[in-house]
Amino acid sequence: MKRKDFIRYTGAGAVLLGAGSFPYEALAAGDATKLTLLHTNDQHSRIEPFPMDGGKYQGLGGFARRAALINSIRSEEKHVMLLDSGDVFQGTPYFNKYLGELEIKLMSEMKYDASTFGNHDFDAGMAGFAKQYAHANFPFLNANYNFKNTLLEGKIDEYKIFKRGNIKVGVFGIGIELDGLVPPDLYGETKYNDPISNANRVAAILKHDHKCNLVICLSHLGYKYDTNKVSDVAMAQQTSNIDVILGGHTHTLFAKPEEYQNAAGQKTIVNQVGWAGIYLGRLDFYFEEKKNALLISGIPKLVSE
Amino acid sequence: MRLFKFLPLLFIMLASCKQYLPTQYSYKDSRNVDSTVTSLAKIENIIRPYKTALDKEMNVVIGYADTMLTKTQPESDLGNWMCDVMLAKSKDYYKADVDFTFLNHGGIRLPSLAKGDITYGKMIELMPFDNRIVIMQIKGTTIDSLFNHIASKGGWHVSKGTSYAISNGSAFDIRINGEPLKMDRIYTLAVSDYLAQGGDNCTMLKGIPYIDTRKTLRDALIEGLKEATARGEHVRSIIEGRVIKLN
Repeated sequence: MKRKDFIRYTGAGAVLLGAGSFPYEALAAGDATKLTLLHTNDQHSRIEPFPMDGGKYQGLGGFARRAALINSIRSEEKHVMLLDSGDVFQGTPYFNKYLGELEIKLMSEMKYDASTFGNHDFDAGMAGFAKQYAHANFPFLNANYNFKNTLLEGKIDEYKIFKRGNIKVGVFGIGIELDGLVPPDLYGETKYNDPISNANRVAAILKHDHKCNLVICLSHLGYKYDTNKVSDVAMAQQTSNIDVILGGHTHTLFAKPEEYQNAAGQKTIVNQVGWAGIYLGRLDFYFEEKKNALLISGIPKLVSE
Repeated sequence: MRLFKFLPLLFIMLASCKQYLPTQYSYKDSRNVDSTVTSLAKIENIIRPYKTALDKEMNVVIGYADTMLTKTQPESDLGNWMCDVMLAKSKDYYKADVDFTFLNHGGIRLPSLAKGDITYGKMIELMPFDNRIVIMQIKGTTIDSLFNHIASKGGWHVSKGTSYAISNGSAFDIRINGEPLKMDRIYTLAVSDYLAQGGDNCTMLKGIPYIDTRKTLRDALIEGLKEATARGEHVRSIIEGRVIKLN
């Protein structure tokens, strides 16, 4: 290992974090590309902050504040992506009255890059979702629902590839089993297919066919369960080629992102940020040009905070 | 399998050329969307007309509570009132008699309903989900196992005329229409489709055929409340011993 690399991989975090500065600013300016991932999950129609009524979350959240926060990050960072992991709908009278119209309008205005289906996104029925989706300027991605014979047939892509500087980011979506969770007449003919095999299939396409530098799964499976129910943790461990799983459904607020060893012995990072837009998740990735890519295992490495 | 065939090729390719890889990452504490952030005016402006129209609709008073109603366990004045309205409306929808209904504790989405005016918006917050009332024919033995589940959850809310006691997480002295539960009798139950499909671990209900009234619990409560108000009635509810918890 070259001396420069040695400093970067071992010394930097320990020495420079203490001084309060970030290693790359000091050591690798110019030769690393930084990608900032901002993410939400389970927004649940919380358009305004929680009311000041003595409740646990009073005064927290709100689209207008989140938008301001996102804007300020966008003004500071060159390469930003804004992603969501589903359950945009349901939870306040805004949804009961407007059936998701405002949520989709605001997410479009905030320039979300992509979202995926949560179980509550079917709460207005297929027709209800299709109606609002026609006004969205960002995609809902899903690779394990078959929408044949529904109003969404041909309208939902499995994945989308984003270019940020010299970095190609592949994003795909995975949804939860609908049977028993969503009334059948709401999801209609939508068929749920196995999350693991489909995640594996699409992640391989993104990583190998499209040569994406980062593969992100937007998942609404839920963090993990006591039973053998499929979850983000199970998906992280049983698949290959997924770098990051941004989760939802269980409304879990991670203290920090979690790392799991995937089926290929590589690292998959899982994160989830509570619910109701009280939180805006942020992960910054640093990309470097490397030789012998396949020989490097256990990357990327967590370096801060 | 295709992947394995090309893996050596891929390896040679990658080993010989450079590739951008994520080598490091960091995260930021997410607890950030609070009053320290100034709202973006552009977004507020989009929200405003929706909010104005919504508030106007949600602030419409549709009833009046003589006392504050609170969500408590094992029994609650709020739960008793909701179950009683739900049972009465279920009979209307089913156009036949219904023996009883119950509500899971977690299905009530507000901790309390304040004394005084009850707005339409409060009713939506109380029951935001579109769960529908379904009617099922259920055997006494299944009711026995249902109430044992209810007891193990600390006690859920039941309609007037139905009562049970809890001891060590088990149910006993179950009464329907004031009469002791008969194990071999078939009863008519009104319940949310969510619970009927096994939600909140009501596995004993899963698979039992039911008739869908196609009316939501929320609509039933709103209709029932509006009808009572039209009759000049106020919401009154007490904890009256439908659920007795011994230990």
